[in-house]
Amino acid sequence: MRTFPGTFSFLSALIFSLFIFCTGCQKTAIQYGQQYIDNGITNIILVDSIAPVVSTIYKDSVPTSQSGTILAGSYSDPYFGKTTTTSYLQLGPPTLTDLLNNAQYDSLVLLMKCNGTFYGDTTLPITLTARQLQSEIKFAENQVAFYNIDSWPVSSSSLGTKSFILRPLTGDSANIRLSDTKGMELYNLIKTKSTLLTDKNLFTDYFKGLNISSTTGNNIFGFKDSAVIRLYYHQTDVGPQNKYFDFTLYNKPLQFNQVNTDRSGTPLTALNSVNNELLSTAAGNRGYLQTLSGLYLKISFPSIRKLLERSDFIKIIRADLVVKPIANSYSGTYPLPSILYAAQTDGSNEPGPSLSSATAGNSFAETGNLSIDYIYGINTTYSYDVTGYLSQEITNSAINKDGLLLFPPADSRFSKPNRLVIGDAYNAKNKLQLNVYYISVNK
Amino acid sequence: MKTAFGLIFLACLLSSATLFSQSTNSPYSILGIGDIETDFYNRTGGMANSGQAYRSDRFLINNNPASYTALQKQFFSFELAARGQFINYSGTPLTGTSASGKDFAIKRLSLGTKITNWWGSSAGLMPYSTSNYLFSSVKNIQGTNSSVPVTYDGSGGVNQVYWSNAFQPFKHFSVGVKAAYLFGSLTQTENLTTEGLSTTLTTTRQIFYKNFNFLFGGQFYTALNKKWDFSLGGTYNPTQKLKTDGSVTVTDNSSQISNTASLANNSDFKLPNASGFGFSLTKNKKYTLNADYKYAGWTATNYFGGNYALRNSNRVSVGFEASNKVNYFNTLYEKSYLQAGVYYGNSYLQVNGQQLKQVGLTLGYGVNSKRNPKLGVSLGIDIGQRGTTQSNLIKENYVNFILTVSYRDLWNTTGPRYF
Repeated sequence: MRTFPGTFSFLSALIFSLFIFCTGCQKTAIQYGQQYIDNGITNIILVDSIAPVVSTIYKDSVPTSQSGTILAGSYSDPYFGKTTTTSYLQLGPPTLTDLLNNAQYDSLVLLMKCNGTFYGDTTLPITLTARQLQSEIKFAENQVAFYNIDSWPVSSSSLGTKSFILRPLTGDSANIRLSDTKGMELYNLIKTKSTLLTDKNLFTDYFKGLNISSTTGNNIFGFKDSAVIRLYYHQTDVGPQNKYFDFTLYNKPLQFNQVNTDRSGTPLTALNSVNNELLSTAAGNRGYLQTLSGLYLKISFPSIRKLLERSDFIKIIRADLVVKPIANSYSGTYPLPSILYAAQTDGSNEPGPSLSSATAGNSFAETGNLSIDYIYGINTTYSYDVTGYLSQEITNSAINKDGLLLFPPADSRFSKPNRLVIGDAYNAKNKLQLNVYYISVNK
Repeated sequence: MKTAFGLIFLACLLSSATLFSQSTNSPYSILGIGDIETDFYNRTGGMANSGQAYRSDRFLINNNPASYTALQKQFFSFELAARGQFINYSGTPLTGTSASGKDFAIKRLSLGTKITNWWGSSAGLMPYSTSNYLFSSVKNIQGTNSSVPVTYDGSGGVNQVYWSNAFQPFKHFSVGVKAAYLFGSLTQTENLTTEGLSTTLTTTRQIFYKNFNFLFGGQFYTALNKKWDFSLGGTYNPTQKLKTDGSVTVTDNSSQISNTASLANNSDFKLPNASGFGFSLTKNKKYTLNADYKYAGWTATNYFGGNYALRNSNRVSVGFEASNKVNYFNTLYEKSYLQAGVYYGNSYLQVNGQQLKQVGLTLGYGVNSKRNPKLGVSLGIDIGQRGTTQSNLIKENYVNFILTVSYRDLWNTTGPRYF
């Protein structure tokens, strides 16, 4: 049989070189033929008809001790009723120094500096009253915190009271002149260097603590927990000297805020430690949040699995939850929580892992991206990417009470009275929106 | 054995090339089963593919399966043909601008031999149709007023592997049949990318086609006198259904999310009754005039879409060839040849009420190597246009270069070798 001599090599080389030529060929895009395309196989479809369930969760107690904030004041609003805060704290003895023989007591003043927290009309005055506690603040055995529902016996007589108009955002201070009787008593202890002042335990047994409350109903203010009782005196050495001793906050874990609420006239009266969940449908298509008084928002998605009933459904590629505060329920006087985390929860209504998103490979907790519509108020929103969460929930075939719990971050959760009222999916003006984009494949 | 290995290797290269080398956008190939090949990529290329009656003792003339009885006995032939294409598009859909593209594809691989005095045979592989298009569009996100960009990329085609046999039952007359098996798939890929939704959706729809297809042919040939030779030829291709099946695969960011292995609602694609005839007139064994007419009854296939339909196609072509032959030991030996041809026809596509016309001019030159008489090379040029810019259509102006390499050697014989 004859064979291919050099020709085969020639042909092979030719084909190979043509291959090389081919790799440089690029297909040119020609805008023609769209009408002949069957483009109905794959689609991205937006579904906004899945109604999340909104409920207000009531926790009968939330920890308020060691929050770093002294809250005092009260206010009333049509959504939450009346909220009153009272603070309890313990003071320690001053560092003693020798007094000259000519030293004389001047005054006793409670000094508290605003920390920027406020709620209510700050153009109206607040009347603050300081009272001495009747018994020393102490944890019970195994107790590690005080709660919003806790209180402590307070002396009926006040050490001092004063009305102010405070400007919380400019670092204003509340200075309350206290009883000179108490002042002289403390001065004498200083002058004699009493053991009550040198032994802190003896001092806290002597001066059991301080209660700060308000009798006006216009507003609530937050103060730094660096509050002090300052005893002013003067003496003459080479020249006249004005001096003072500070009784500073002692044992910070024992400082706590009591929060009393009167929900009369609101749907929230239905909540108690037994009935601790209020569906929005039973509350005027609204959900309520004020974590300081134990109110959380829960949003659950029991009907998400209805997507599986669609024959074309493949997978969720994006799901956005848009939460809309009720218009006019917030203002500069009643500001919204600037950050609102969303955590996974179940029937226990305890917060689990936070909802998080990934950007550029980094995972971060979703904060709600508060966007405020200052003009009409109807487009103020918190928004969340719930893609991952719903992709997980849609696979859960068990009957469950899973959902997302909304609450402010830890540094303000139990130290600020900020509250929020949202509309549910049936609210006419401020409708909760769930936008689910899914991949559809028609087979 | 080396020969066998060589052929297998080349066949593998060919099939790879057929699959991967098409890159020209042919917008009309979105219709039907793609652009159906009308060229034969053989020696008749320079004569506008006029070869219904053409016969050659050396080259494989696949225009008519009856031609293989003309092959010289004791030889086998191998041919490989490739096409390079440069194409320019114009028309309203291009928004006033023109676009161009280039492409290269191997178009034919065939072998042939004359087995007995009355039986010639050839087998080969070549594309039956090709689909190649690319355009961008937008797709509405259902339930919104928003759209996302999307591209559509079409590729693939139907190939044919064939075995042709020609028989000469009596002098001056041959009949032949080409038994072809058509197989292949058209792939349409929709790429949808949206950064906002962080997804890249790729929908690949593949339609598979397969079935046998037969082409019958006959040729009558005679010498009119010492100077003139004359032949008549005709072919008939009965209607046939291409069985179809399909699959759809959807991936999201490269992960497969849906796969439908078999699509139930595909209707078979019907190939029409087609026929052709032509004549060939040769003077002094050197100068040949070929003329063909071909017809295909596409209208009866009743295939149509929104604003297009398949219509009966026809094509007329005329070609002339001048062969430079020398007398070598009382045998005519061809050193080279020159060819020219023209063609005109209505293609099977009617779009927007316009049946697309195709017209062109071809030139060809072939040479048989002096140093290696077994080797022949030809280059054909086809300058033509298809379509129109009217009725919102696209006109294609193209230049095709067709390179054909032929090789022949003695077939398993111990007899004396003359070449």
